Amino acid sequence: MINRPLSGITEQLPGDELAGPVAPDPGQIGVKRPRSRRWVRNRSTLVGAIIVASVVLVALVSLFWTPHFYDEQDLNRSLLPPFWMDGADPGFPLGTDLNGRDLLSRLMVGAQASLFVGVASVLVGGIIGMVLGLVAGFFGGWWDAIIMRLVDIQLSLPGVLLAIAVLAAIGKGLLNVVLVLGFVSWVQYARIVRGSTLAVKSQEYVLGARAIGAKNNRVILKHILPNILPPLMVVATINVSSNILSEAA
Amino acid sequence: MDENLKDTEKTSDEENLFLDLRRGLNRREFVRLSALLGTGVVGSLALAACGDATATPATSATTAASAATSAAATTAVAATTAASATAAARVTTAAGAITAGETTSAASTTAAAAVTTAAAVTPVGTLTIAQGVDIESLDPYVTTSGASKGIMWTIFDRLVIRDIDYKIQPGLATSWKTLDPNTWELKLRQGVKFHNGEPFDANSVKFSFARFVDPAIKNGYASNLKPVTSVDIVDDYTVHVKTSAQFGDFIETLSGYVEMLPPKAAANTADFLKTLPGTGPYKFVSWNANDKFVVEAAGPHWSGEPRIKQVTFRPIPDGTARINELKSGGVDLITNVPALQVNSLQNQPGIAITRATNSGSIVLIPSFLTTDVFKKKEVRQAINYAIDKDALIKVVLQGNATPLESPYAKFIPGGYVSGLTPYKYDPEKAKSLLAAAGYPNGFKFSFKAPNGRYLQDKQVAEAIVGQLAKVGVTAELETIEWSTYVQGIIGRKYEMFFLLQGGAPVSVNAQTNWSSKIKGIAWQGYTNPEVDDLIDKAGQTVDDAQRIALYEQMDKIIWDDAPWIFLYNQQDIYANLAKVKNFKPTSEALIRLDKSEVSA
Amino acid sequence: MGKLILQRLWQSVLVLLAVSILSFLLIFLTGDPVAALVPLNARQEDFDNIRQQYGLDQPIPVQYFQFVIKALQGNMGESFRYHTDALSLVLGRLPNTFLLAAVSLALSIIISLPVGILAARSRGRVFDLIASFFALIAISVPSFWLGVILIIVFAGTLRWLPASGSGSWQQLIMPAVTISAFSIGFLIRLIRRSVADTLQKQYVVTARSKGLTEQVIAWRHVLRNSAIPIVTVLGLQFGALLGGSVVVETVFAWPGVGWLMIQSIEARDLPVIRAAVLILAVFIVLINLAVDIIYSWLDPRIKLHNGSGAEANT
Repeated sequence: MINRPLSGITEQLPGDELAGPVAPDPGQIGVKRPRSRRWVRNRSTLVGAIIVASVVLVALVSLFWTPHFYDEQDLNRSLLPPFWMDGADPGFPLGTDLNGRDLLSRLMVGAQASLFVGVASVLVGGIIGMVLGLVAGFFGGWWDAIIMRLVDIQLSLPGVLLAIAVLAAIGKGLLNVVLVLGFVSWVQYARIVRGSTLAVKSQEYVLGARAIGAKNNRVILKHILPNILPPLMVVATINVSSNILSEAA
Repeated sequence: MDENLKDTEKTSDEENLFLDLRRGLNRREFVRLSALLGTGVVGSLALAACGDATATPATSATTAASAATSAAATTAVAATTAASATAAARVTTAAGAITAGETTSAASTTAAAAVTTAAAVTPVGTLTIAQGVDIESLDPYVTTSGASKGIMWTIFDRLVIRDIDYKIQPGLATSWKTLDPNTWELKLRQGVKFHNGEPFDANSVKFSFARFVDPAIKNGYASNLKPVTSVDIVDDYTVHVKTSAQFGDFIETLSGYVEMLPPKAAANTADFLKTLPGTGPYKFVSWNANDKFVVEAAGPHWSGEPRIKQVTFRPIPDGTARINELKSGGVDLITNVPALQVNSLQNQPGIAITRATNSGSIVLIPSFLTTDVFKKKEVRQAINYAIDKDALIKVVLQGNATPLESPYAKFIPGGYVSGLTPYKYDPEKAKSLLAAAGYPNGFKFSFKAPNGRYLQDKQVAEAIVGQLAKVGVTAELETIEWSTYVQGIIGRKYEMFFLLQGGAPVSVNAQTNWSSKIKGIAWQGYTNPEVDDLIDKAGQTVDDAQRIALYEQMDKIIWDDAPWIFLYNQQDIYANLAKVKNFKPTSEALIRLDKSEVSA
Repeated sequence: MGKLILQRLWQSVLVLLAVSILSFLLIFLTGDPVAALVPLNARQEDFDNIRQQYGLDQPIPVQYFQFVIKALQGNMGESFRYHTDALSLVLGRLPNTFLLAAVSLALSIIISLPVGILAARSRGRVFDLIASFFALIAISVPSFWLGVILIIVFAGTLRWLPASGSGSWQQLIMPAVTISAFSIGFLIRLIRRSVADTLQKQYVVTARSKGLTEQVIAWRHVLRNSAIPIVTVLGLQFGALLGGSVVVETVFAWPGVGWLMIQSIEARDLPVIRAAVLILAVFIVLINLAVDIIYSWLDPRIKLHNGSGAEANT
């Protein structure tokens, strides 16, 4: 009976709950929704926000305080059950693992690493991928050829091999894990952003903007970026949870 | 046998599942889950028995009669041919028992080799075995893991074997002795044929020895036959093995290595690997990587096998999948049951759990090459005292291990001496030893352990860190995926590492671990002239009792000098359906069908 | 189109070259391959002999050129682990992986497309909430966890399905479901988002005001215009699946490329890794080319081959 309770919770929530509220709806014209639907949407947003906030809070608290030291072992209290089962010890509300370590404390500390890795690796991968994808899609031609062939190369190399090789070269550690995960995942963002950019680039309003002499960076910021964000956000938020799951390895 | 042979098969099965960055995978999660299921969910599911428990004792002479007669006839032809040459083979068809190749030579002295010939039985039924890993290679001289050797040894015989109780027994050699210090004489079993029809004779021995040391074969154990200078054919069933020096470990070496191969068929390796003809009780049918390896009964064999018509080996890396495949009846026998799931499986009707103590020693190896503090004997002894082996076994290993009382397991000749002072858990003594060594406030070192290689390895390592902290010693643990882990061992980078070191034959392991003259690839830098001399001397002593006495002397020194932190022998855990009868696990950590039978 | 394919062809040669060099270097970066080949109680001399026999004592560039010369003759070398031809090992496992990938992807599309569109059209209503909730669960459940649960329930307890292996349709069900769970969740979210987004675009509103039926709007305008990110993700997913889902193949002992790959990486079985990576690279190149062609079919204004991009370089 080890680690039963929260194995799912910390590792799932952050990513998914960000998905709902964060993504803006640019490029759409204001269609008024009935009040009732807005209420439902807002409520699910609120629930999501509360859960995310509580995970962040737990992680923050664990920086200063945990019920026990997270690594303190005692083989005499191995596999204590959680509070809702017989034989539980109130000092260890979620029970202990095989080595007799307090699961609640480990969970709290684990939330830190999970949050950090999940969010940071998506930021790393997302930013690299978005920039390269935009460049490839918007400027096309050689830019597109070079960046997309880089994507092909990266996609062909097994992620496991990359991870072992890079970690062997630069050593383990949370930051390195973030770098590896970010480095492995930029290609998805790059392809998604490029695809969307290609589609948006040829829309009338973008062509129009360019016809009246708008600068490239203005076109990108004003017209392209807002339109490629929704799919990007979906992928990014899903990846927060995926990357958290990969982190332990 | 080597470390790999004992344990390449993963004990907690996570190793294969470590990282899929595209999708995201959490190994820790998986372990948690197995643990959870092992103790909770599965235990509450009362399942009915799977196998039908029809008992069909195929040993009975009546059921066996018809096949035995026809089989005996076939063998008789071969045996009579052989008999004309040496007049040493007798064939008894009357009782359906075949006595082929029994040596009557008075020369069989050193090995009390009474050739036991079992009654031939009709092989019945099919058996499907799930192991954690696939066979590594089809070449018997390249496979090292227990999972692979178990498969290989159904097809191939060795000159000398170990019985299920670990005793040396005649295989394709029926007797052996030394003629002079540098010459071994082997008498060979007669009337044996390879599955492709080639006869087994002195030429097969000569060929196999040559192939074993052929550099092009890429055999990692080739130098175990280094003392052999030539194999001389005296007659069809007698060879003289000449050695450069006295080769006392010869017979012991033959018990683990040098499967006998057919000279014609194995001349071209690529072709040989397609058909794999051996002399064993089973013959090769088919192999599909990571899918299945199939063998079928090859006709009567001097060992009394085969008793099963067809045997299929399947790799199923995940422990939970293995267990549930067994429950659903998809496989009949599984290896490496995860320690935390044993209890729940034990309560299942129709499933039997068996265990065998693994002959390898689980130890911590401090490196003298990287870390000066470990050069002090008191420090090493202190760590030995500071670790509570009993608690580790009881709690972390859930009872699936026995503490080491000698450098090697109890049943290993030359590896075990009774009555050595045990390193009983004694933190006070550890502290005083540390103070005597000049470290009253302890010290710090980096400690590496594999994750998922051995039974509960990571959890044991973590618990050890906790115990060492109590005597003021700080071990900074890092657990590493196996294939990366061995890099550090061979690269001699670690300060202290966690390893299973094979115990048998003692010769091979003593030489590679403790001889500063020979040095294995994982040598820790231990140098003790007294030990070096004993290993040299033992290696050249032909007399069994004398050689074992020398190794025991070495064991005593090693135990006191403590170049290792001695922990325990883990247990290999198997589970089988009721339809499998007489299955007995061995300490070699490989599947031995031996007298196992299945109901049809 | 022809120009695009021609251009891609020579670019692909460069990709394969780069992939072969990189995979070569990466393997050596993970450590000494000989260490994984030799048992730990072997002696130094055997260790050295094996290094020499495999040619691993040569400088890496020399090894690489030897490999390229052989590879050009169609010989990827012999597996260090199995001692059989590396290429045929990989090709032998490919049908299994392909089958699993195709079935899982088909399953994902069949389920997620209608659900995603319906969810987008009923945004904020009950159906949307339920669909989003299940999508969330599907994404969040780690696939090995789901796999193990399925095995325990359907193989161990109910005994409806075999727990592992391949060869029958029954053995395909659990791995395919495990793989698709993630893609279904992912795709539902993506489709819902993209479609909902397009539904609010000016041209859809215009189309609606022109009185076109919802059906026509959905197919002619909405799907076509929201399809690009969906097609991109499907392409990525298919590529990843052809590389073999390591987790699922290992949990279900499904003898595919993913399991072979992870096993080869653990054993540092260089020839097999190289063969698998190169075959995967060919697939990736083809898939990404196909995706690009689909882009221009979905939106004829998208032009991809060199030269057409020049207008953007202003």
